[in-house]
Amino acid sequence: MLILAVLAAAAAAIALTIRGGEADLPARIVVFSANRLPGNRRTWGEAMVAELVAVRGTGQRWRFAAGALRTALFPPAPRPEHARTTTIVGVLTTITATAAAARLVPTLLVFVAAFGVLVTGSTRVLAGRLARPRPTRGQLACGALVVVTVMTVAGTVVDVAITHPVATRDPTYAFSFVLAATLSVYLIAGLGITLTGRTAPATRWGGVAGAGVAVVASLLFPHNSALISPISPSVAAATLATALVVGLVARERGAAARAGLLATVLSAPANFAVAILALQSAHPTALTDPYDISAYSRSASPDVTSYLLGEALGGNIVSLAVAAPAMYVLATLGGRAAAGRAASTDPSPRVGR
Amino acid sequence: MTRSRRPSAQTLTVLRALAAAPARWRHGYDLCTELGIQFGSMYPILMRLADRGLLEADWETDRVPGRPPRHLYRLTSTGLAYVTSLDTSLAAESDAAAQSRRRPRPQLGGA
Repeated sequence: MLILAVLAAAAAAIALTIRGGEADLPARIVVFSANRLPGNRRTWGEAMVAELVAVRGTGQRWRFAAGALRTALFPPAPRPEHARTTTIVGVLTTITATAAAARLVPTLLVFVAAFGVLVTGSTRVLAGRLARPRPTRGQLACGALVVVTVMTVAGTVVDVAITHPVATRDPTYAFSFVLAATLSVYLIAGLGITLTGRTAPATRWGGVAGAGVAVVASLLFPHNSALISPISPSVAAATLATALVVGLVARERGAAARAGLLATVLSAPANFAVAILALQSAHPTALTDPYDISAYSRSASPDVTSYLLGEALGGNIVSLAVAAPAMYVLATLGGRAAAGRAASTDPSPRVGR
Repeated sequence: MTRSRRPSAQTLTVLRALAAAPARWRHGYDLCTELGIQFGSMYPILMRLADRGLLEADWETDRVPGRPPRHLYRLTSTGLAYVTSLDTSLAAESDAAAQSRRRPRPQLGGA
């Protein structure tokens, strides 16, 4: 169910993003890929699009589109030596963290190893896309915020594994892999938006402000994290509001979608941490829900808190995994509506982007 | 000072194809079909060569109605010199390897 939900949301997000009038799908993919190349490679993107006229036959066009997508995903690093250093540091950190997890938090061994590998791969890809010249202080500050927010989730899970190890037991490793993949997606999406220079400062700070409001709302009105939680209302509201405001101000739906996604990337992990920490500090000792009472008696949990934390972790991991693609769809729709409205009410011609 | 790394086999193929007719401008997709290299590999190779100043790129100036101008590529003088020096060093290495194969192996001395 979770995989289907994530795939459906991701497919909707891609379908909303890839657009191109009457062009065939391979041509749209090439245009989509060309627009995703780093700023310093933009001419190469235009060259790929122009090259399409020479590509005949459906199979050839699909192969060409796949190649363009691959080039957009893995463009050559502007500073290959930095990319190599990033990879070496990532591999060494992953080995060290996995060895530490094996000793200190054995229930998180698979999560730590998978997260390390995915983060190393993601940062290697990102190293090829970093803005040139160096990112500004504002970009670095936003990027640091993304890293801190994502690592807060990992830290929260480690904290639970130390205090209530049974709550983090994952015999099938499904939740370990889902959490590792989800956090990697949040990290790469957040750093991609903040560091790669495609995002205007107003869009970036709009996303940060929206996330700030959502986090404050989560702190003031924490939801019942013991249940399999749906997407947090505060995260959804912040994402939509951010996309609408940025869409109206910037009058560009891409900027609105990026700002909304950044709000999600920053607020959903914070919401996760707030929910788990609130439950941990409440330290409940009695169950009231009949389902929980029945399930607890069948579980191997030594105490009620461990049982509830285990349930809450599972629910919040699912919520976190679904939130990113679902909120991107929401932000894209909101941004499209706001940008369209702003364009229709303003008769003055636009200058530049 | 940057370390000079030996190019990959595919990069070498592209370099040699461009060096075969250095004055001629080539299209990216035509190079793919001619050399049997996937498009997804070709463009990163061309980007890296251009980053290193070995390749120059330009847009078509002869307008063809109904389609946008395409990008054209050829080696710079630095690129041509690089291919020449690379081929020379590869040939020297190959000769050295052949000579070492022909040289009689030293016999183990027996009492």
